[in-house]
Amino acid sequence: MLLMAFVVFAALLGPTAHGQSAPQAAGQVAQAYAAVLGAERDGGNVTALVAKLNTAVALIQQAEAVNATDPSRAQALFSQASSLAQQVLQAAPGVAAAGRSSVFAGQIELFVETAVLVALAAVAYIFAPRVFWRLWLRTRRDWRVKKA
Amino acid sequence: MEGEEGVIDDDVRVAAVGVILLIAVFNLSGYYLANRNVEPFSELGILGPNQKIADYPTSVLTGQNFTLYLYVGNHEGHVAYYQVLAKLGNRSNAGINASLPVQPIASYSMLLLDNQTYLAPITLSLKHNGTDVRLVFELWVFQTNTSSFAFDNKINQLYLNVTGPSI
Repeated sequence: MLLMAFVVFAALLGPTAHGQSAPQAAGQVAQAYAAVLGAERDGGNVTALVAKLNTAVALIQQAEAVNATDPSRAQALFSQASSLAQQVLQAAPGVAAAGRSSVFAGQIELFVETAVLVALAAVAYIFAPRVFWRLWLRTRRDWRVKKA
Repeated sequence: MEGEEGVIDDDVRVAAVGVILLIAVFNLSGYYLANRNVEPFSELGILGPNQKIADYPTSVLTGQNFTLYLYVGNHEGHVAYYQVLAKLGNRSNAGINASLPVQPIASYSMLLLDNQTYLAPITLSLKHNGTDVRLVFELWVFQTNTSSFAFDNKINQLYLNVTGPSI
């Protein structure tokens, strides 16, 4: 019974189960775009993902152009676009994680730099006068004092 | 004399610590202001067949292809998904900075990184003749909260005389 229901369901789905339609492919690109935005917000380098999504968008446009004259080719193009959008969707979390790591590393670097500068300021506060007077004496060591 | 030396010591301390703190402030502000976009905006431009803001066609034959260049720039501070719709209007609906309520004759979609620009040739042909046919290009931006494109209130337009029999 269950098997029969599955067969009927599969038959009802027909071509959309195998291929992709324009709204499906566009929807997947939209989902992938949202994922790319999230990855970018997290500091990830999304250049490669955007390039891939642009290819998907171009494929959708090609598919729409030939949909009326060559539906099977359009279907194939929609499928390729969907596949690319899926790849972007799958890759986005990794890019986001790499971005978060990079941002964290940047923050640590900034913290260390600031800490070093604060320590340097403390050292300068203590030793700057001593260094100054040493340099002052060195620059004037050849000076001779004349009787007034 | 000792008092004078003490004043100089303080001056030296202030100068040394001041320089270091200045470096620290520059360092911190550089980090926090690096990716701030205070005035996000997008650009839409239509260039003539020579990729210049000149030599636009003023008269075309019905069904004859003519080429223009589409320019889109993203300065939104993040990746943006754009759609440019080419539509036909007339003088009566000119001056209204709203989307034309007609079906587009062509559409172009692209995703752009922040500070990335897009320049590509577009080939169009018009099927119906007419005088002062208003060829309008509208910029739409994808909104993730509504999962749809929204008109960005940016248009470019070109007036054309389309001659010859309608197709």
